[in-house]
Amino acid sequence: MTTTDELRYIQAFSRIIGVKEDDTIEYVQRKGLNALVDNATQLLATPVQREKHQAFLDLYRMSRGINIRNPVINSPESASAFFHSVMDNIYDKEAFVVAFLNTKNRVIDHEVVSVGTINSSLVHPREVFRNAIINKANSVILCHNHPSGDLTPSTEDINITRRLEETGKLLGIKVLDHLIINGINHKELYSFKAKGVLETVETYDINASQSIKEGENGFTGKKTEKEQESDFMIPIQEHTYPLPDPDISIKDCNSYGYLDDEMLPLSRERAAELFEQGLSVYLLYEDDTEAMAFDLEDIDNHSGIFGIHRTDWIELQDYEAIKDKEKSSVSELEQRFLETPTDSFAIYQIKRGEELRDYRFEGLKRLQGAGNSVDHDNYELIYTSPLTNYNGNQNHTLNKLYEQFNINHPTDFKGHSLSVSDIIALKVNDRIFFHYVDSFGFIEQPHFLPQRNYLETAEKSIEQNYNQLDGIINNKPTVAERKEKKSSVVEQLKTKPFIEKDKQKKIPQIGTEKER
Amino acid sequence: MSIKNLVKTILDIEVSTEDILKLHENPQKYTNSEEDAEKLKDLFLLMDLADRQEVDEDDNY
Repeated sequence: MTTTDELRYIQAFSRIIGVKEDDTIEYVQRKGLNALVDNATQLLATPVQREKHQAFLDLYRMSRGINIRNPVINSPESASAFFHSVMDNIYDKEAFVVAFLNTKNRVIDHEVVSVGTINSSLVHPREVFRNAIINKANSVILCHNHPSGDLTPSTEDINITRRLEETGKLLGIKVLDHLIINGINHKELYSFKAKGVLETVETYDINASQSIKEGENGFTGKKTEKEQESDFMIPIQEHTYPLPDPDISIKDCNSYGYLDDEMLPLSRERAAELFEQGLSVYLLYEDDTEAMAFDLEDIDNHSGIFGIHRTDWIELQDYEAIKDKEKSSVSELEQRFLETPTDSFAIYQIKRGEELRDYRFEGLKRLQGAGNSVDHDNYELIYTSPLTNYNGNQNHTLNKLYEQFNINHPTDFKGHSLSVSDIIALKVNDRIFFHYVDSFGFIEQPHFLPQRNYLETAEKSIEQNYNQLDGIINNKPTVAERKEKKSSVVEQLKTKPFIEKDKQKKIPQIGTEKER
Repeated sequence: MSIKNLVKTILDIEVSTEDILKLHENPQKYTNSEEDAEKLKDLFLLMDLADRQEVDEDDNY
């Protein structure tokens, strides 16, 4: 926006809302131009001004979808309409187009990445994300057309989607959806997101993304107009995560004189606690300014309230949640799979992290060619479930699972869609077969599971002799078993062979010798 | 609140449609006077500028 436009904006705002132009200019200098929409409370002195401003915000929000050139994408349908508008002349060939979106899901730009047959060599991540980076996109939506009119995705379509989704994760650019459209019927579309093939938690509705991340289900997660209104009026109180200090509220902080929504208030004790955890803590002042605390002494000496940056707090929450989840789930899940007596299957996927980049989505030959191998330590068990309808044909079962975990996976499956480099384990009649998902077919990995005592937990819980963790449940009988077998003393005497009595007599003698 | 009521609150003018796109594209048709149409244009100018400012802000981000 040029300076002239900024001035026009200020003049129009002042005229319509009824605020003195000088006051608006001074406010913009202090808070920035965006504050006229986001946070104009301090500028609006009268109830009439506040009422007009609120009405303006409502109308502004309603009008946001009418920008044709750079529309806001808030549903697969609106995305489809946009892609139809830019792919109008290329319906006779397969074309792959990517739309770059800003943080408000408004289209910044788009690019035709490839025209012709869609395959992974043509739709390379660098081609897709190069302009996303240049355009500073927050997210992208992918789209390609099927000239035949059949919207069913091919295996190649699924593989490309997964590859781009993973690349986007690494770059911090979300792949919001991948659509397949055709030139025959503009209302028909296939959304990878809606069908569950794309696992991203991001939604088209930017207002809902936070609550979706917090674990709510639903595709758009749209809020009611009333809820959206209240979000805008009191944005900071919309938190779906707990505030860092229950003893002090945002309202307390605002009453104190500190108004920045990005800072969450803390008491002295909580500030010291979080500071010691290595988080940046701020000293908040009544004139709406802040200073970072450099040591505990700064915290002790400050007589006002304290704050932590909202993003730091959310990151800490996410980190703690991930740690808890990882700790409890992965090893227990594997244990459960290995110990279950019923026929089952399990899906292992490569652990997250840059260090395993060369393993992820690599065909077996390529993996081994690079000097790497399939190593259990690089994997985590993502999902296990009983194997139903097993017909004795492992290959058939593997193919069925591959299809299921790509097109219609269970809702509680949290991994990415089944892909090259994943391991499918089939447990049939107490034998476990591990299969590497290769570019073509499945390769058995008989040595995938290292020779470890996976019955350790079971032994510890069932056996009393903890020192014999030998991988075999071979303990003394349990109390219940002993009760069952219990017979009378007379009966025992009758059945006991004479030689044992002899042995019993000798035992104290051995003990006596040892004592010496 | 309806579009008509919102416009009434902001500009104190009457408009004859609830279609915001129509109001944006043809303000004269849905207002009672040229003066009201100008006020409406002014309002849409403000919304356009706010929108552009928002896009710029995201680009800078």
